[in-house]
Parts: sequence; structure tokens; C-alpha cells
Amino acid sequence: MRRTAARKYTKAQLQLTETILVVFAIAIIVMLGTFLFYRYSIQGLSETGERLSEQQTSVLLARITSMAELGCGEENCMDTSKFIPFKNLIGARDYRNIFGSKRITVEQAYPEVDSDKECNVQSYNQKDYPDNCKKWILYDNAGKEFYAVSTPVVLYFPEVGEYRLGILKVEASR
Amino acid sequence: MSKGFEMSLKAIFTMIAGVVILIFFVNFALEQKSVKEEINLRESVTSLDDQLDAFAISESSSKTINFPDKARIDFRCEDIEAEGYSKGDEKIIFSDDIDSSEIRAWTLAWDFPFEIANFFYLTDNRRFLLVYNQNSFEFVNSLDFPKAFNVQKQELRFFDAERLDKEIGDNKITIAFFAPVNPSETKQKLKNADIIVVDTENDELNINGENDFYLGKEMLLGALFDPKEYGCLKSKAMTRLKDITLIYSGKASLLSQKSDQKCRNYLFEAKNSLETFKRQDDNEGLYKMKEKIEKQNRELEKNGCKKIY
Repeated sequence: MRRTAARKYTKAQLQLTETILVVFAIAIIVMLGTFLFYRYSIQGLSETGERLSEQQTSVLLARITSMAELGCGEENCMDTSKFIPFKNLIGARDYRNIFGSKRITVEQAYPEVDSDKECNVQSYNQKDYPDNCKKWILYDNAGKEFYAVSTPVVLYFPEVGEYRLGILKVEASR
Repeated sequence: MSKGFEMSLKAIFTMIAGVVILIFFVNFALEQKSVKEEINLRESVTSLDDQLDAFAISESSSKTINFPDKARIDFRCEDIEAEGYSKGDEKIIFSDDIDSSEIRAWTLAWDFPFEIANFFYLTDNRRFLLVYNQNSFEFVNSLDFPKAFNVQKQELRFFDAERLDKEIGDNKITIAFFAPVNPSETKQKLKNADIIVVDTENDELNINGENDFYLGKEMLLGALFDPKEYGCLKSKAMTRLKDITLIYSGKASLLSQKSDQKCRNYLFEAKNSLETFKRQDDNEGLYKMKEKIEKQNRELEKNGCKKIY
């Protein structure tokens, strides 16, 4: 009698352990599934984020030349005599809403310039300007990891009444 | 009895486990749905913002922007807000709160006297009624609205406030009077309409009883599209005006260093005018300085000097 009861008890215990094991296995599968799903979702989200960021950077690149702060007005070019005052303005006004985490540079491309110097007030005041400097860093707020998009632009130098070819580059943080 | 008890215990255990798993999956699905909706919303707002940025490259242009679903978007002075998500924006957007899958958009470059910014005008279904008299007929005709907008023009003598009040119901409407009328009296008769009385002689306006001013037709159009936020958007535009003036003042200063004495004097005068212009806050002073800067710019060109703009 006692032995039958003990056997039944062992059988019940075994079945309960079996059930717990099944539930445990299901829980593991569910957790694994959830983990994988989230991993792919996060990957998808970061891809969407990158796509939107690249789209924004391309739009910004096209927009910079037409901005009243830097453009020539009616003509489709960049007025280099506005670059230095613009840099001074950036020191006083918050342009993060417009540019965000980016670095914006303009380089003279043609005719080639025998200098790698950044153009500033000192180089402007010299007689050989604009041949004595190569680039303007218009805005600098990019992080360490970034990607770059660039486009050729027409640069206008009102001091000498010349148009030159330049490269406008926008580096955006990833 | 014992077996039956064992079976029911197992069934209860399985049911509890099943319910827990079911709740988990239902929650998971609901959470994913709301996350997806949030992502779509953010994507739509970002995409709209990019479309407007791309649109701003043109000096004057209009288009219809479509959304896949009907969306509620509030264009406020400093940001764009859609169902709890807001995105800061530096653009000057005169707009209603949009509640549609279609937005009619228009942009114009604002020059005062040099190009300052692009103004955006957005609406889903606002109606514009421009009431004129003989003196303002030409001015009203010069407000060249794109065809996509619901604009009607009416002479003051044919204007019937009572009839119009019955007709408009809850629809959004701006009634702009380019003729002398009593703003508070008209507002009483047309409670659901935005009433704007424009004084084209002095570049002043009265928006739903509040006096204000405008700088150019582009800004006046802004008051017609967004009477509620006009004051804040005008301030935003004025800040940009001051910023751009500061750049031109810096440009004048740089150019004078590369000029001969005669041009240096003209540029110095222009720089002083720009500095004064930057400090002006009333429309009379701003218009006066604008004309002075225009004249000085012409003088610079006439004398073979580099122009400011």
C-alpha cells in the first residue's frame, strides 16, 4: 500500500518536472526569439536613422549655397566675403538647429592654390589673397566618427571680381 | 481522486503558463505596433522638414505635399509637433494646424532690402477672402496666390458679414480687409473667422483686434496664413534680419580694406547704415533705413565700387 503510494508520488513528481522542463524550454525559446527580434529591430532602426541622416545631409548640402548667410543672392554661387562675418555670427548665434552635429568646409579647387592654410582675417588682409589660403571651416560641431558628402560650387571673390571653382563638404556624425 | 487532482493541478499550471505567454505576446505585439507608429510619425515629420528645406532652394514655388495617412501636425513658432513628437525648426513657417493627408505649400524669398530668408505658407483647407476698395484693388491683385489655394476677392460694397457668417460654419477662414473697416465690429459679426485689417499706406495691420506691422508683402501673407503665431514668427524673421545685416556689415568692413579711399568712404557709410538698420525695431525706422541702404548700394555700383549685396 505504502509502496504503491510512493510509486505514484514519484510518477507525479516526474510529470511535474517534465512540465516544468517544457515550460522552461518554451521560455528559453521565447526569450531567444525576443532577443533576436529586438536585435534585428535595432539594426533596422539604425539603418533608418542613417538613411534619414544621409538624406538630411544631402538636402543641407544643396541648401547651403542658397542660404542668405553664404550665398551670392540672385546668382547661384557662394560669396566668400561673407564667410568670415558668418564665422563671427556663429560664435554669437546658435546654428545647431540648422546644422546639427556637422562640419562644413569650403575649399578652393580651381585654380589650384599653393597653400593648405585656412582663410581668416589675417590672410584676407594680405595682398596675395585669395591665393594665400585654401579653405574655410564654416562650422565645426562633428563628432569623431563621421561620413562626408561634397559638391562642386562656384566661389565668388568680390574683392577681385573673380569666380573660382570650389568644393563644399559636409561631414556629418554617424 | 488523486489522479484527478493531479490532472487538474497540471491543467491549472499549463493554463497559467499559457496565459502568461499569451499576455507576453499580446503586449509585445501592441508595443511593436506603437513603436512602428512612432517611427513612421518621426519619419514623416523629418521627411516633411527635408521637403521644405529642399523647397526653400527656390525663390518662389508652390506644391502639394502628400502623406500616406491623415496626420495631425502643429506648426508652431519654434517647432513642428505631431502627436507628442516635436522637432525644433529654424524655418519661418506660417501655417495652420494641419489635419489632413495633403498639405498645400508655397514659399517666397523675403528680401528687405537684401535676401534674408524663405517664408513658407502651408495650409490644408483654409479659405482666404480678400476684401478691397478702389484704392487697394491693384495691391490685392499683386498678391499673387498660387492656384491651389482657395482665394476669393470681393469688393467692400458687396461684402455681407451676416450671410458670410452663416456660410462659413466651422471652416477655417481669413478675411483680410484692404479697406478701412472697424475690426472689433466685424469680428463680433464673424466670430469664427480670422479678421485682418490691412493699412497698405503705413504697412500696418490689425489681427483679430491686435495692432501690428509688416515688412513687405511676404510678411503680410504670413499674417493671412497664420494669424495666431504671426507675432512670434515676425520676431523670428526680425532676428534673422539682424543676423544677415550683421553679415553684410562685416562684408562692408572687409571690402573697405581692399578698396581705394573713395570706395572706402562709401562702404564706411553703408556699414554705418547697416549698423543703424540692425538696431531698428519699429516699421517706420526699418523702412527708412531700408531705402537708405538701397540707395547706398546703388551709389556704390554707380561709382565703380563693390556692392554690398
